[in-house]
Amino acid sequence: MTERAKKEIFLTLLEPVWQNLNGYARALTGNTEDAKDLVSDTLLAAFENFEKLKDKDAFKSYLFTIARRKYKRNNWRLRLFSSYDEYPEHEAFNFESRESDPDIRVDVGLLYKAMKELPEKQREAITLFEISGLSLQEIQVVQGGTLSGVKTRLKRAREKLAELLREGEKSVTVKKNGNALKNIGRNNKMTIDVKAQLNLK
Amino acid sequence: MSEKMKKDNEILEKYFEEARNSQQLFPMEQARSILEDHIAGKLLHLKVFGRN
Repeated sequence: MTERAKKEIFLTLLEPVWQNLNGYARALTGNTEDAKDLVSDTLLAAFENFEKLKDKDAFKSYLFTIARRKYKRNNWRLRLFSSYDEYPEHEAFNFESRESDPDIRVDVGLLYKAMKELPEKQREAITLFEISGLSLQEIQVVQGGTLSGVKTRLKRAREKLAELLREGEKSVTVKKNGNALKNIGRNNKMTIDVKAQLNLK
Repeated sequence: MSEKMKKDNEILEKYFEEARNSQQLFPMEQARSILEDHIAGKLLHLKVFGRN
């Protein structure tokens, strides 16, 4: 098979899961630049090894398994070789978004921030299931282990996330109300303050 | 299902729905262009060095 023919088949399989891969990278890395790097690295590694994938129906699991490995490897390097100052916390969860509704941007920021509080395997599982749309079986392939292990991880992650989001909603509401009283007449001040609190652009 | 679980599910669904629909990092065309650049680079390497 020529490289160009391989590329066309690869892209046909990639298209339906492209957005899912982006969502996964964003949720794992927590910032736009690292997410872009992860997507590019995954794309090239998946393309280079594409001929080894015998069952093309397993493309989704194949792609996300590569993304997961790449992320783990990069994350390990980052922890080992970088100081805290090189990757300041304020840059985390600072996404470029095409979403024009500030409330939705705040909600998405809250969700990703809450997800960062979860243990790594739970965060992965819930991201793969809820944002990337993988089935339980596909997640089992990506993460390894048993199906019941995946189900348990998802259940615990959902419980913890619901708790964190309830707390987050309360604090945003308090912030919104407080600022609304202070800033009557100032356009969008409330939204800007909430966004600043969440480190959203 | 308990009332608390129902509420939790409603909260989670709202957030996940927004996250699923909100944004993507780069459009599909960019995936094509990344691959095309990669293939062009490989071909050039092959032309210059005669092997992978």
